[in-house]
Amino acid sequence: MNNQAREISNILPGIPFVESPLFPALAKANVFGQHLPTAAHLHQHGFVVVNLGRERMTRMAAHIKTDLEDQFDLERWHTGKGITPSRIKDAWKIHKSVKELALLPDLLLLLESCWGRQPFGFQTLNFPVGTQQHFHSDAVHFQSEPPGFMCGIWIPLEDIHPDAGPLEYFPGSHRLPYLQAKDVGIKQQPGVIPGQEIFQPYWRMAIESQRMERQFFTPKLGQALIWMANLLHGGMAVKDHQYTRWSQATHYFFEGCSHYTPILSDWPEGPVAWRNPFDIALGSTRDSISNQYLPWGELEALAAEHGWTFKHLQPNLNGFELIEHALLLEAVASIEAGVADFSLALMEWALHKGSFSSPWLQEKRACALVDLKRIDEAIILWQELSDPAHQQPIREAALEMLARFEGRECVITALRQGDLDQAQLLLDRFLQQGQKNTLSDWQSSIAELEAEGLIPMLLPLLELRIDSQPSQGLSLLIDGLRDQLTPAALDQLFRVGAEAHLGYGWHSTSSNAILIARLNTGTWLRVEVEGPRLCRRDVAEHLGMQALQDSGYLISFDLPAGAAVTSLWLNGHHQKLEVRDLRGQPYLALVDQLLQLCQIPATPIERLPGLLEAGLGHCLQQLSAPWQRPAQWQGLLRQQQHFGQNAEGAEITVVIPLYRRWDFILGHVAGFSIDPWFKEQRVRLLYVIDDPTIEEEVFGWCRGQLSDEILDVSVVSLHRNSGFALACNIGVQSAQTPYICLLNSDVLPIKPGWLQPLFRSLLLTPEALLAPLLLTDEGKIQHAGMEVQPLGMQGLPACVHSLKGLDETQLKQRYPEELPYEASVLSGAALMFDRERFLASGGFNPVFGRGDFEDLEFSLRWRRNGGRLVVVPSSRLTHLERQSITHDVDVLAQWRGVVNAWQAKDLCQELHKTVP
Amino acid sequence: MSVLYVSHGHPTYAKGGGELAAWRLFEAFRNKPEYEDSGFLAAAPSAEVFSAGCELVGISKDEWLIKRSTSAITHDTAVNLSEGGQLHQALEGKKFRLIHLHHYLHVGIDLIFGLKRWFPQAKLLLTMHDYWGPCVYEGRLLRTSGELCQGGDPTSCNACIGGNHQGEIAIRALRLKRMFGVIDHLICPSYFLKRQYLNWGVDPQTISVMENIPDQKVGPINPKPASGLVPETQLVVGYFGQINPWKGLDLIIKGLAMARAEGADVNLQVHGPSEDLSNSPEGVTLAGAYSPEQLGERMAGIDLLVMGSIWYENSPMVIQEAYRYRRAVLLPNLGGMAEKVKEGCTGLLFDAGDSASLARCLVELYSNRKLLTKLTEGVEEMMAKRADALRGHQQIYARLMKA
Repeated sequence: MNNQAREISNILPGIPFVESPLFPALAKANVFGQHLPTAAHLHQHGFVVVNLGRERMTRMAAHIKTDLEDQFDLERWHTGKGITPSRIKDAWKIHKSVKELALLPDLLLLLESCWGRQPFGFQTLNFPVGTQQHFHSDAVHFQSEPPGFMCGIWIPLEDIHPDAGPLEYFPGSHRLPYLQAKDVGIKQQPGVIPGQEIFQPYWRMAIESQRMERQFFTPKLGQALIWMANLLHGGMAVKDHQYTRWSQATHYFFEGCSHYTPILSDWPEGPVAWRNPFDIALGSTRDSISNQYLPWGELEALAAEHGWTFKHLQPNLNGFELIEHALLLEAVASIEAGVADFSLALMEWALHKGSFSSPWLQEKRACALVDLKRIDEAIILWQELSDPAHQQPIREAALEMLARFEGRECVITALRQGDLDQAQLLLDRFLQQGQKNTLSDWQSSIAELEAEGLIPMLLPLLELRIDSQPSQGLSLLIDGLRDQLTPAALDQLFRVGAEAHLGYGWHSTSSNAILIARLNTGTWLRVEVEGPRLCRRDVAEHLGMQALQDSGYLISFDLPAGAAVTSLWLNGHHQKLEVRDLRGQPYLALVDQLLQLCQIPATPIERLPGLLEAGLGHCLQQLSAPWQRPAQWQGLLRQQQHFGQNAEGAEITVVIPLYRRWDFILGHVAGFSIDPWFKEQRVRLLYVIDDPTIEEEVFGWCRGQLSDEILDVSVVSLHRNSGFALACNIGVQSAQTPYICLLNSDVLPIKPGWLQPLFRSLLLTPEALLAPLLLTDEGKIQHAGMEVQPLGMQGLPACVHSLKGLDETQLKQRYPEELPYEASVLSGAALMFDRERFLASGGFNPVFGRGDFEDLEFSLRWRRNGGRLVVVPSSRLTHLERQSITHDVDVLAQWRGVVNAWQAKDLCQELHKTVP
Repeated sequence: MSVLYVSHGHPTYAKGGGELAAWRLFEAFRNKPEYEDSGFLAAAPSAEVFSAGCELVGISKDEWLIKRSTSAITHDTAVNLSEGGQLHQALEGKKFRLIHLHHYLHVGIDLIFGLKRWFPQAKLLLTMHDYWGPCVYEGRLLRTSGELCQGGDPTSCNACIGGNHQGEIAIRALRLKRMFGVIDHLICPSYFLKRQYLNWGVDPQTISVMENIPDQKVGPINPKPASGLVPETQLVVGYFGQINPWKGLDLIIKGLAMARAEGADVNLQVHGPSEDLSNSPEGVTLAGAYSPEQLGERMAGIDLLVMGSIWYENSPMVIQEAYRYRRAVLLPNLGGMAEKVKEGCTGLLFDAGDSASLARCLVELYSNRKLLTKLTEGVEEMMAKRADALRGHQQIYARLMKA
């Protein structure tokens, strides 16, 4: 072959030359040499008739017929009956002449020239009479990978009479697509071996639709027909049984391919019926590759890729069987050494590239797959190997492995899907199979369960079986699984709602921990611990393991309605079951308690949004839910006293919650006492003491200083600090007037007359929530309506006072007429509204605890319910922002702020548009 | 007509100018016909004066001490102001027609509203002794930094009292506003003080300027001639009163040293508690504390009164007293002090806070004995024409009663 021919022939080495789309170029490049006409005929028609020389064939035919004629009952045939056997397969093994005919050098050279690879005969069939076989493609029986490297040669051993049932064929049919079983809708089933009938309807229709011509071959001795793998061919009906049709068909593969049987395969995804064809020339199954073709360098590269050093395979191994044995030993050794991926790769190499076909290679492949946790695939292989078509030893081995893994696999699959109830149902078979297992029998299962993180789910199931189904195997399995557990604990479990629970603890795994609960309903609950970790220095110090610094977690889950937990496991560790019911307890304390559980300040606050998202936020909502009901509010009232005048005809009540600081009352009294509307008793004043620590002091002061004041002052106190939202709600509920002005305690009047513009606006727009302009003590704008922006931690909402810091002149430039205007959000520091509307809306949401963001949520809810949010700039008050609360840099307060921002976002769908 | 005098302290416990001014009026008027039933109500110096459970103590039939306010910012009243409370019981049956307040400090603002409720016919008169209205910090209009201040700025006030008191400052402003709203008349002992309150927002129609009355027990005064009137002798200047950082005694001593360095034989007598001056500088004599009765004697030993205050002062009683003993004064040209001098006639003014300026005045007075003579004669002349403050108060009382 010249350089050009070599170059062109290397462009598509995976396609036989005679099938190549580059055939013209190959021909032009003189790739085929003297065989060009033969190659061209094959390329075009899929067959070619060649002349082998009558004299030579006469001699060889005589030998063969002499050797084989005793084996056929030709007399019976001549009487018009069938003949058994009708053919002799692989007679080359015993008859030299058959072998000689199969290996005619000129034919082999011709095939190599036409296919571009070296051929090897792998099967001979010797026929005494016509086969009358339905036409078919050999490619459904003998396929190569890459495909097409197969052909057949039919050589008559006598002149063939047309009535002897000559060979028939369909020129051009070789161009039909190669077929797989799946192409005709067949998937391999255990115990079912498909025949070529599955393709016959297609073949018939293809011939008919493409109007392919049927030809038949009635050669003289010395001629031969070569056909390509996919050429449809068969045996015509025998018209006269007086005629014999002595012939030999030899099937050839080509080197460098893998071989399989498409009709028995689910190519390419499913199981493949690999072939390890004989090499007639070698006298065994491709024995010759041991020396001549074993690609040692390729194997070495494969081993290096997996960090493996060969223990059994050697470059100088001789003999196919020796090599195959070494491959199996290598596979076992690498699995035992924990290098299952190499074992798998080696077996796949042997089966695909190495042309080995021992079913034991498949078996070892399955073992490797097990080690690699690909049990499903291994089971398919074992199922295939358990087929009766296989020999007894391999079938028994496969069945044993199926017994071990199939039951286990069902359990594992259920566990993998988190379906503990299903896993429990499947456990019987698994345990039955393993009741006499030793620990070593369990090792692979334990290893797989551990690798897949399934132990936390299986152990609870097993531990509940130990009493009812005790067995040595189960005990050993439980012990083995427990040995794999890493430290973990559920320190506390709280009930936060009718079904909602919150757990707190720590675990040492890097992945998510698994909480398993056995319910009184007989079902199981599986919950994955999600969300950011909590700092647990206490655990790290106690166990002396610095790695557990960040081992804490919070877990939230809901039980099915009416269910209760009977047992609990965390990461496989059985936990004591003490559920602390937090429902009905003081909400503010609960908020702090749950935040303290987060181990502040050691746990970075940046993790808080994630913790809230993982369930903490909704737990708080559950805990606060009862306090959203107005009927509950009055239960918080401790006492109510009245001071000063009795403004019976009052229309407005100014409601002011007090927390910690109460000296603002002095400012209110001073400012309101000089206001005409208060003097005229149109307005009442109502304080809500939301802080028992100041209750006595406030009441005492009021008794001493307000008893004879000109104002109508009511003071109600709450049993405990209940938070800004509830204090406001209770104040509004306690007030008797139709209109309410709600003020923060640090809001002070600047001059008399501030209520009139608000009240006027409210009468004009009863559906409005109104806010005055709030100024700082320096006279600059503190609040003139707010906007929400995603400026909080991790995009949580933040209320921005967009006009803050402007002086009155600048505000007047924006609103020269000082007319009321709409705002996006109003501050809760000062609001005026219709009392009934406020109560009907549910008031402030108590989930916001001590305060912050309740105004954002309330504003948006007010608007959602058809209300308007209006700023009345002609009404002005001073707001000593955050004077009513602590000034300390309080980490807990910062955490509460993030909680409230998260709650606002969670409760307001509107914020999901503006806050990503 | 009986008057209830309300003071931030009782002179038994504190002899500050305000307390003395209130007390002297009380003493002066209760001895007058029609004023016999007057009373004196003051804040107690501490809770120790009260029996357990009491918030009031009567120290005579017409003198009471009440619990002291707990806040010098918001000026709350520490006693029960409801009818039936201890104070109400103590004052019940009294027929005060005039309530003359000398401060709201310590007694608290709420007291004023309580008194107004209990004595609805009574007029409220307030004598202001310093700048507590516009100045939250010590009422001196002197910042912690030593800068003089105009007052009324919440941010500056907050800074002076240590920050984080915006709330109390705002509350206080509202309370003062309400309080000034119920006061019928204000008395300022200096024009400078009046100006500051006007600037702060007080109604100008309600303010009179009237000196506090001097000690009425002091008999006729025959002042000794000042030594400076005798040529070739040393010049003796006298400092009278408390010694604190705002009074500027250090500045005086420094000016004295500078004058002496220029050859002027000037000496300083310090009259008042002076433990802090254990090592008195050259030319300085520590005369120690004195009683009101000793004042004449002490004044006789000096040629001239000197003050060094670095704050505005109001109307220091010591200036009046110096004049009563016919002593000229050497004062900083600052605040209420400056207006008490007819410069070149009754005394000299030096640049406030400037010891060199003070030294120049001392050298001038030492060198020019005729000047000291002239000033002393100017004092004599002024005192002869001076209005009687007691009578002035009586006129204001009468005017209020008629209104």
